[in-house]
Amino acid sequence: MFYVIEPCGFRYISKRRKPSTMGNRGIGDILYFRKKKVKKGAHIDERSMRSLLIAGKGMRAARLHVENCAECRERYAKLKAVLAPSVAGDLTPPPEIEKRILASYRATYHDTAPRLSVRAFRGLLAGFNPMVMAGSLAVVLIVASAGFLIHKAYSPRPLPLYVYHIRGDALIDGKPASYRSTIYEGSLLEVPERSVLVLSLKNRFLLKVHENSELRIAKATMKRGRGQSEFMFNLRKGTLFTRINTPDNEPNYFYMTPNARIKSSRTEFILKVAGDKTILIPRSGTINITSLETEEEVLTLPDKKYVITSSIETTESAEYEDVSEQLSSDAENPLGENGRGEVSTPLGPMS
Amino acid sequence: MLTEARLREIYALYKKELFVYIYRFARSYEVSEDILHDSFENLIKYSRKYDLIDANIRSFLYRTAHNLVVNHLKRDRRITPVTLEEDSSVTGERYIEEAFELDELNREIYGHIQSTDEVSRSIFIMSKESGMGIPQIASALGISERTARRKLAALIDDLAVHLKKMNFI
Repeated sequence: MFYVIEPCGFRYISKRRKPSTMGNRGIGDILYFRKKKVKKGAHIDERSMRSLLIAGKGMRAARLHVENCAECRERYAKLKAVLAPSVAGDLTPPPEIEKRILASYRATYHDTAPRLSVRAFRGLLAGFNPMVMAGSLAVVLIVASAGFLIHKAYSPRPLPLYVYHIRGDALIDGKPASYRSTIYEGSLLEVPERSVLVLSLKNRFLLKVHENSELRIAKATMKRGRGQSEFMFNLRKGTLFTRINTPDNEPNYFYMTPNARIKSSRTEFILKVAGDKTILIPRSGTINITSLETEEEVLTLPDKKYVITSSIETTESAEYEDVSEQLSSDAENPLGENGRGEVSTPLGPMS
Repeated sequence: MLTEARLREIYALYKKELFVYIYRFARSYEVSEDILHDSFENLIKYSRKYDLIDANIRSFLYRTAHNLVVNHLKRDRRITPVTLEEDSSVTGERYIEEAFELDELNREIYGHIQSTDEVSRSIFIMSKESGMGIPQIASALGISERTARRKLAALIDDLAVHLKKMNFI
């Protein structure tokens, strides 16, 4: 190792270069040091100090100096603080992210169709007349394409919704719901007595389906990347609570009941289908309700009760007070008294 | 081919450091969560076509996260700003909240490096928050070690001058 020491500090030069040709050097040139007489009071210059910080190893002479020189040691410590990890609080991703990733994994690995080996295929074709084979292949391709298009049009697609919480014996497409269940376009959610099912999407949408409810995910339009998408939920009976906190360019959410069509964004509300009535109580945001029978449209106000039959009416009566109370309870704690303590709700109460 | 168990292991191993890296870059919790998810989703799709080599997984994840954040920031710049009255989601409080998570020095550091290019910022954050050395950073970003070293050195120089002016060092 070599180094040259000048009156104002250390300079580190390559064995291959003479001192007069030093000019601007990259750190990659700092390889060797030539030891000479040390002048009293010399310290490491700024560039060398920075090189020492980034080098990670090596630069023995400089390190030795820092160990023995209080002033340089202090300067080095201050510079080192710049590269020390920041005090970041608890920057840990929420557990929901892992669930989303696992849901993506299952959706990706869902299709495991076997592949025909090329060699086997060639062997199969070896004994056939080429012209006859070409004609047959053309027919097969046309039929297969038509079949594929029909299959693609009608086969359900998995959706990026996942099961966030279950209580009781909820069913998804006739099978017991679990945290590993895949939700498809057209899936039917059946939630019997003393059961609850909570779905989530990207931690910005939450849907709680109460007991004695049936919900079908009627359709979804999803575009590549982060383009706009749409989800339609058809509440055939029962009660659901929903919280949506999506910025612009995120999915639109539509709800259908036997009487009404509802469009919402950035809102919380409770929706109940009871007999021939639909009851909706918004907690925040603006919701567009359309009566299916009369096409009457209303933009809601928070905390008012809307009853949709053939028309849309607001009511101040105590008749649906239980629904109001359920809304307040769900808004505070969507998971209810048996909610799992280990995860926080994907969306806190909206201010 | 990637098994679910292996995916869980990889996630447990890299989730925190990757999330910190993304967050320091993107400065938004929601965006960071999405990008973390999308990074792993890309890994899953990649594993369907190619074999995953353990030594490359970290580089892959960082490279993917870096590209996703850069794309997001570019998209963000194209959005027409809306006045506060028109968009109630813009309060500024969240940004201030995030800024207060850091001590004064780091707040100054992260405030200053916003003006640097994305590659330099990425190199700095990987070195600072994930403790990655120059070879790993270069591999993660697909650049030469010399470039990584040079950019980091330049950024530290610039930061040192700025922090000296502000009497932090």
